[in-house]
Amino acid sequence: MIEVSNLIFTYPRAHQPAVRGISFRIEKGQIFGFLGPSGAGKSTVQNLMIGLLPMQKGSILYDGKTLSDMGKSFFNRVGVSFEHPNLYEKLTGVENLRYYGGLFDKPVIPPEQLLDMVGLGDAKNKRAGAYSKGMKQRLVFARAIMNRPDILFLDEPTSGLDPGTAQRIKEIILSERDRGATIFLTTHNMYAADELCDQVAFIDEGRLVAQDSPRNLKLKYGKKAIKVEYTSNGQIKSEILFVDRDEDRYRLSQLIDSGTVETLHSQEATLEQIFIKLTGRGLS
Amino acid sequence: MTARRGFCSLLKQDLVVAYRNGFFLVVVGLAVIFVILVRFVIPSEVKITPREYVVDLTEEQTIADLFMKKGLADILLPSEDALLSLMQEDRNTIGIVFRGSRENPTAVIHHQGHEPKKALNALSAAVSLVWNEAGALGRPSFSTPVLLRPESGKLPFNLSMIPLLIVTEVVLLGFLFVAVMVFQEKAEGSINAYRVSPRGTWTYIFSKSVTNVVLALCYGLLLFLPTIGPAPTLAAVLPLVTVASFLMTVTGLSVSVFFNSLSDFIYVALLVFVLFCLPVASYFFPAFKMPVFELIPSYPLMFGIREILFPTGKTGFYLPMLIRLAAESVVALLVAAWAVNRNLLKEAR
Repeated sequence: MIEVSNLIFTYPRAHQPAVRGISFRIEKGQIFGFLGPSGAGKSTVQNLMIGLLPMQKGSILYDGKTLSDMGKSFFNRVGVSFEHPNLYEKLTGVENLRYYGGLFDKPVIPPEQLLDMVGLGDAKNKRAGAYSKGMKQRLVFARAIMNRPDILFLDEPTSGLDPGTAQRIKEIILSERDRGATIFLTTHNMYAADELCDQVAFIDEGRLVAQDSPRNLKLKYGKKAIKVEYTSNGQIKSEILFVDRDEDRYRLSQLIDSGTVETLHSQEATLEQIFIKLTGRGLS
Repeated sequence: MTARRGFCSLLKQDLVVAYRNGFFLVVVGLAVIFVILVRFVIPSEVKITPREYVVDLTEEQTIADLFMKKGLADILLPSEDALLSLMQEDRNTIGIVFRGSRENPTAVIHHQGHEPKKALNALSAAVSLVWNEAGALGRPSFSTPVLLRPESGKLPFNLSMIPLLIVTEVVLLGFLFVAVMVFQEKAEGSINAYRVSPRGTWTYIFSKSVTNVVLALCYGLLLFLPTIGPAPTLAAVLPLVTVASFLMTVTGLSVSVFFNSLSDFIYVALLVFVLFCLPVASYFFPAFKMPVFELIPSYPLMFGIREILFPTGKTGFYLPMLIRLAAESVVALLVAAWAVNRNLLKEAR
């Protein structure tokens, strides 16, 4: 379990804190989505959690222990996928993984197997500098999971990937969760978060504005309504009907019985709409 | 065991990156160029204008009077021992000892052995003129002994460049290569990946240092073998090259982590390079020696390698010099550990 309490961080020479009293808790084996627009403080929180930034105020506990308690050995249990691909560009894909794997104190997944998993098997002997952005992203992702981490930090893991590849990466993320890994997913992609996360937290201007499961957030902030499209006199018409109103429920059954209904859409809110409602600004 | 495995993995990676960066090519290229220069371009003798000193051991002391009248009292020395002692210190000197009397004028020209024959002939002619001016009644007789240095032979000028060339590589390339590696890792962001690995500051520093030491040893061997040959002195030179390369690498690390790019760093690099090359002046002109030069690590290295390759009889210098360089390396290592930890591995940038 990861417990983050009252985290405050100000960058040197900055006038205002980048993170202002953030607290949350991530249960073991959960995918925790950290959603927010660029500059909201997502990466700062992640960097604090992995020790790349020094703690100023607050605490971060992993099963009751701080990073200082655990020292460098902590990173045997951790995988980190960065938003910006950071690879040795003069090394091939397989070399990047092989040498990085050698830094761990425990056995790692063979590089070739990892490259096949992320669809880079054919490019394993190509230098990373010649990879496309999406290929680099996949290689960084593969590097993050190579030590079968207990805790996985993923920063925009599907950014810049085509839909097919993104789906493949999402499946691996879910399988990592099923294996028992706790996953901290930083993203501004609400669809990825909706699809993957057990819990999401919205961060805006360094503050946490909401935290719950995607379903609960939608129930809390969305409308229990259905949008119906139907044909009438050769024209497509639409109506929004609220399921908790008797007259709307009657109207819905009328339309269904008439056989003119073309489409039915539930009107639950998307995570982006909820974020806008809470903060007044979008995620992108 | 696992720490050693981590170190070996990082070292392999650094060696491959160094190879792909062309560092080995640079080292081989430089060594080949310098071997060609030493063996085929730089002459084994070079014309230099030595300083002359005079000792007057004549019965009438007429020569000393003559030189004093000409305002050249500063080149007069009181005894032959003083002259020989000065010549031992300064290889760029020639000593002339006037003996005998006007009736039986003689002169001894002590020289270092590397002076061209023409220069010695010209000097003999000049000494004859001095005797004539002093009223000699016959032609002076000459002897021109080479100054004896225990175990020393004549030092060919081209080979005398070897210590200098070794030091230049160790200082310049050792300092620059490691900086290039650091800036590359910063630019790629790959340093961030290392920061979230189980390995730490010491593994990082030692991996970079060993990579540079390997490069320095390759260069040293490539330069040494075709010029000096497979001499036993190689066994004494290589430990010096190893320690000096390590020292320069950790110094380069300590400095480069404070900068973000090679273009920012280059001015500091040039400054450090000039500082470390100051002892070169003393190498060619021993009189140009300031006490502060001896504090610069390249000084003992340069003169140490020269003494190993071309011994002049000094004994007991090797181990203290090696210990001194090792002690400086330990201090530089501690500074590097602090700098790398603080500026490279601790805080996200």
